[in-house]
Amino acid sequence: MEGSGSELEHFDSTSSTSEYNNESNVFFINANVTATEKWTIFLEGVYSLSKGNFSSFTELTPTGLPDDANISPDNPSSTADYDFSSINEYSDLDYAQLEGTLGVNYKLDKKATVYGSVNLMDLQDNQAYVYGDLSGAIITYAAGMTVGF
Amino acid sequence: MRTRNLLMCSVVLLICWTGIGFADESDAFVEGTASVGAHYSHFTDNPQRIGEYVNLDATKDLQADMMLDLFGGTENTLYNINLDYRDIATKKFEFGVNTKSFLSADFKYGSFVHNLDYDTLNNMQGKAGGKQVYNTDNDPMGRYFMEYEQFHGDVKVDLPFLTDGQVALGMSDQRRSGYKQTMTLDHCAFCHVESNAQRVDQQTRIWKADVKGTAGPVSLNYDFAKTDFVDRANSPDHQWKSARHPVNGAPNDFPSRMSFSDVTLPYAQVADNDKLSHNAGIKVDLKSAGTLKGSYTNTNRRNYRTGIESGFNAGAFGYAVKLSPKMRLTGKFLAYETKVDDAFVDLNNFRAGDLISGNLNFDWNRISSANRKVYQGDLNLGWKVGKGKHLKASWRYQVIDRPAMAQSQTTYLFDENNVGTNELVASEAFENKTTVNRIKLRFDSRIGMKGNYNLTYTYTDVDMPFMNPTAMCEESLIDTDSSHGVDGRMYYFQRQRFGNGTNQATRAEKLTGRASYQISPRTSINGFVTVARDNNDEMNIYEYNRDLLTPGLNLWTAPSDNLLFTLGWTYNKVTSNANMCVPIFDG
Repeated sequence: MEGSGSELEHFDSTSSTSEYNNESNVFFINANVTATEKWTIFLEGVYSLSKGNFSSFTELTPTGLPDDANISPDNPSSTADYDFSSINEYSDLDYAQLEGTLGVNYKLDKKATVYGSVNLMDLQDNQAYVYGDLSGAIITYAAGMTVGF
Repeated sequence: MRTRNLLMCSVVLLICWTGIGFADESDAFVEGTASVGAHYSHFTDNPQRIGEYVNLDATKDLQADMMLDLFGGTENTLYNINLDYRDIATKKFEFGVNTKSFLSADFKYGSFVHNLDYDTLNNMQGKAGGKQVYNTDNDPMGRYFMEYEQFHGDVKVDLPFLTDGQVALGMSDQRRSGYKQTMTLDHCAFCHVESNAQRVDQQTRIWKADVKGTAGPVSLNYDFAKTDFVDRANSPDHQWKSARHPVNGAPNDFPSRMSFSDVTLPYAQVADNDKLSHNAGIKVDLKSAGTLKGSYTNTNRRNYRTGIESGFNAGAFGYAVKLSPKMRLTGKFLAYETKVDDAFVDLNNFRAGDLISGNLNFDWNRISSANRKVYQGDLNLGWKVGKGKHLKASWRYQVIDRPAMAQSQTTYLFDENNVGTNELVASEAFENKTTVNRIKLRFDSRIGMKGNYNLTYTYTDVDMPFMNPTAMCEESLIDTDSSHGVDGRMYYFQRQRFGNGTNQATRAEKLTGRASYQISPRTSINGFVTVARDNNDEMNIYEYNRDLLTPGLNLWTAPSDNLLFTLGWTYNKVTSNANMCVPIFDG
């Protein structure tokens, strides 16, 4: 938290404005097919694509430094690194997600039905962030019986 | 356990299927649906995010499940029972009873699991001792989750001597328990980030009592609520190392430049608190002269760990009148104040042993940025302009007066009236008054007998919106002379930021259109689109913009008696900007 007047050289700031772009597409389908008097097929699905990213901070090279300053980009002996061209990519997000259920009902009589279904939840993480690669899938098989009364 | 669950499910189904009645009175009835079954789940790769609300302990295992929706009644009573059991941690139960005489009651219970993210810390992989940020994960196999449980019950008793008179007593009990990831950061000489699992055991209880009733043209209501929040889990401790100079590693006098050094302290503490609120309302029917409404709300919250209290007071009244058979005017006025206790921040003197250029006092009084007085007026005019056509116009005027919009800009400068001494002058709280004018127009119309559409346009003008003042971009100190400090020294706390930042607009426009149309008896379509633009060109270092485009389309069709489809698409695009300032140092 300290610096001395004789050693500290504080050359103000350099700044750049970046755009953040967030885009998503969501599709859904719900279908019900009465195949026969006893058989019904149902399908539910949601598919989403979402992306987020910053544009490049390309103007972050300082311009007001004296040419002979140790950290001036115009000083040939300077080792200062002003390459900020990729930091905007650190927080890129790119997800594709599918959730869907395909099932079938069979009527035993007017009040009773047996059913079977398979449910898929799948996430593709195409730009891993600080939480690591979140890609994963869960598949669930279900069967049972329903009674109306 | 699973076998027993399956047997219980089967008994419920058997009762329903075999028609064993729940009531045998001639005027009693019961109807509903029941199902029993089983499911098996398994996962690949990382299930934490895609299965954010899936009980992962119940996967890779056969689970019994059941559902019951029951609705019944007798001559004087209606009741409903809803059960949904998916696994031991994911279940729901509701029961409601409503008598025709004077009593009704509802009870609900639900539980589920919320899986939390796990920060791998892989972006901080420097080496220890190298002035680089490095990490230690003390729980590398950790899985973080919360188990939620919530119970709510209320009883309502009618007051027969009042029109719509009723007393309602209610209680909610919410529990959150599990583990979350917490981190500590040691002094900058070590740059050491450590990750740990922290136990969570939180409970929120709410008690409510409401009374309402109407006598003649006057309706009154009063609502009381008391909320208690407690976290029973112990806060974890961490030992912070002895502070050292971040460049040369010297320990001399450095601890006095920090708030703490070589000490074990609790971290990630959650404060127990409670809240008490009262709300009273009145409504007077003035017949042809209109309707008058008024309300008053008072809320007080106490933080048991810091002792800080906050208060909220609000008053509102409104008036509605029919100007003509086709025109209605409403006016509303709202005023409220939020006041949080000031907090005195008592810090050790900086460089306490350096009596020439140190021993500086940074104590300060924090004024909450939540403090504000708000005044808001609304005028709404509804006009039936034709058959199936309505026009609404509204105007809102709002003033938000804050004694300290943000105090994070607090900096300390040496007193220019006492050059050569180490007297410091802290920057003052940044007062701010925001004024909002909003105009909204909406037009609704039918499209023949098969459709309808509406268009809404909103324009908002804001003078001095909320911002973080002097938050970024620094003045150069290179030409600063010794008059700014003792002994010609310059300190980081003197760095003078000047750039304001915000994502709040001074001018905002929004246009929304919605339409639906029945193409044929078997096909209908509806769509919507929203276009919005926010702009703030009154900041001192950049111009803020935010553009939004959201169209959507839904189609419902039944091509035959055997086929039914619903298809939909929604697109969302938001483009906004932000400014980044990097201070340039050498030395």
